[in-house]
Amino acid sequence: MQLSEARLRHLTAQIEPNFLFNSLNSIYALAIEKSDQAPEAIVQLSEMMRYVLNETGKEWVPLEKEIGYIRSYIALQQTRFGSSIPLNFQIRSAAGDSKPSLPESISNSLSETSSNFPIESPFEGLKVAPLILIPFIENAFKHGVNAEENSNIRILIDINGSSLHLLVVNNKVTVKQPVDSHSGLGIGNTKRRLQLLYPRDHVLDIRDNAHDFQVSLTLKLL
Amino acid sequence: MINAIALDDELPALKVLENFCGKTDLVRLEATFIRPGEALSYLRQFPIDLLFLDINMPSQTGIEFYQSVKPGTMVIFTTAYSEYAVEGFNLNAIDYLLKPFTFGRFLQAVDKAVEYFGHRQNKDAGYLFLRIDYSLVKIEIAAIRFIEGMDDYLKIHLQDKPSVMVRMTMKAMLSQLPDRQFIRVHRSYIIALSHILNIRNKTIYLEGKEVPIGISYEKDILTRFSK
Repeated sequence: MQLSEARLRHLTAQIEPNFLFNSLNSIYALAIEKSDQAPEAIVQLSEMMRYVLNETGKEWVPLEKEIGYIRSYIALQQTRFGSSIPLNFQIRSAAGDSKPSLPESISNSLSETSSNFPIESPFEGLKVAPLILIPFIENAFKHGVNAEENSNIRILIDINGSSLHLLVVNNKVTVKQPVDSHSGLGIGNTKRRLQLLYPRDHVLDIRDNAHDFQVSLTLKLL
Repeated sequence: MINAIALDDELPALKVLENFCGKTDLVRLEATFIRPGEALSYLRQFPIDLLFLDINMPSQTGIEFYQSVKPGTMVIFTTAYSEYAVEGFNLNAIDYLLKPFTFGRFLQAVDKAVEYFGHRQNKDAGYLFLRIDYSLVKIEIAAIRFIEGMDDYLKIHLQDKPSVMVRMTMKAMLSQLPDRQFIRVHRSYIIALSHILNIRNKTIYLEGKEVPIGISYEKDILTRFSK
């Protein structure tokens, strides 16, 4: 009981109240419209919560779980903002062994079902520190979403053998910060964790340009 | 019927409002916007009674947006943050809805807007707008002969028209009526002064109706008529 309480506190620190309640409201809208998307969105949110509750206390987690969280997060953001925010999300993997590559892409339409992982995951056996990729993606949505401006978010995850490359680019737009803008993990904290957990196995390149913000992270996975 | 627009940067939130407004005759949702700029230019062209405003939007907050629209426009704020609700109170918002909200909670907020709208309307136009079931019914104040209290309902007796039942208290009704034209004479009766024929022996005679004067109202009636 006490343990799950601590984890719940953990959860609220990591899933921003803003995101949580607006996602719930989006799901509510789907339910009112009796949309077929409603059950899927509920599963996506459940998977995110389960990941944060069950996995993030661990030192290492299967890569596919971290990526599952990212998929759900992006799918829910698309439910919230729809086509008003151009978004390109791709996962590419050319596994080191003979497994065929499995390109995935979401571009502005929710066609992918993120709840069912393929039985033979291309990330099988790969492990990662929990919540090490997610803050960069959250950051892009936090600072990159404004339907009145030239919003554009690109997220690319490229897995090659045991090497992972994450590229996140967002156009800078006006965003009035909500009261809880300091919740979530933040980039500063993640930089420190990378130094601690991947001292010689990561390259992080952050470019804070005039019009856009780019994060390029290469990780050597376990 | 009052007309409204809604502004929220998230489409599903607007869908909820569209759905709920579609279920009631109290409010007509004329348009919805995800961009404040478009909402503002719409407001410059068309008169709108009520705004549904999301507070947390990227370009400007709903609170800032409200400060730039015509004073007197009614607003119901919607937000996923409970923190904001307190902050906005000095803006004279009709209500705050915490997302997600039920249809019942939504109706409660719209009712408040309708009541406020009614107050304002009858001041200048001589009409009452009363909520009856899910509709707003317009009643000409000059046509009201007297109002009779019946448990939770009021029966409004009108000149040359069938009477109307409305669910509200005597007190709320009195507050919506012009003071100079109406008087409460009994726990269960409000009377239009213009329809009084004569008063005799603690009874007020209207055409085809005798209304008793309640003991606790005698004094008030006397002072009104001795002026």
